[in-house]
Amino acid sequence: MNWFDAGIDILLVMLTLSFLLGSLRLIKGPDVPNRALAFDLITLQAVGIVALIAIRHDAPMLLDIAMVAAVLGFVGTVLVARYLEQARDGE
Amino acid sequence: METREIIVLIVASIGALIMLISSIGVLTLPDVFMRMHAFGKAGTMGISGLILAAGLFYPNYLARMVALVILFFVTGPIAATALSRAAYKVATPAAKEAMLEFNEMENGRQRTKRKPAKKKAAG
Repeated sequence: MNWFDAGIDILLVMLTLSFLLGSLRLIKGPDVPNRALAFDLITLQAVGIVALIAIRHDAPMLLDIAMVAAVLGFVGTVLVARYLEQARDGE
Repeated sequence: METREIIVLIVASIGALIMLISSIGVLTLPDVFMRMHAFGKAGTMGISGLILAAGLFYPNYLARMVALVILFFVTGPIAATALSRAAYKVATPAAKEAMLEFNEMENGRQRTKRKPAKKKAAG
């Protein structure tokens, strides 16, 4: 048994658990800012999971996907925040 | 057993541990701003640990991954601040009263819910 792969597997399990906790907040979240926050957290965790899978399965091209997902998650969060502010101002 | 693999495993486990802790925080803390505090840890330290581990494992990608970490350190506070402003603006006055002990953004007028700590007599 390769101990390095086993360690990466354990880390993947931990990240998947935190992904599930984040999705629970996304489902429960009482209002929109909570959900936006949970969505940003989930995006970051997805980036982390993709990075670990790239290490585990010798597929470095997956890291490009991680970069694009990271930037898109940030843009999405700022977009939602801006939208909420402007909607409140317009009333 | 390679030294590089040990270093990669250590850095990645720091990242994954911070990620787990901060998502527990996001699930259990009582209101938006406290959750924002827990989220900030994942947004910078957790993800940069994982990304840096991938960069150390593939030296060809190291420069790109370091650039991505710098990007995270720049964009994390921006996202947190924008989201906090939005959460503040969306909240009703009663919710603000319940959440905030000290409302800094209310037109320069600052209210405190609790009494300020008594000053000790000089001397």
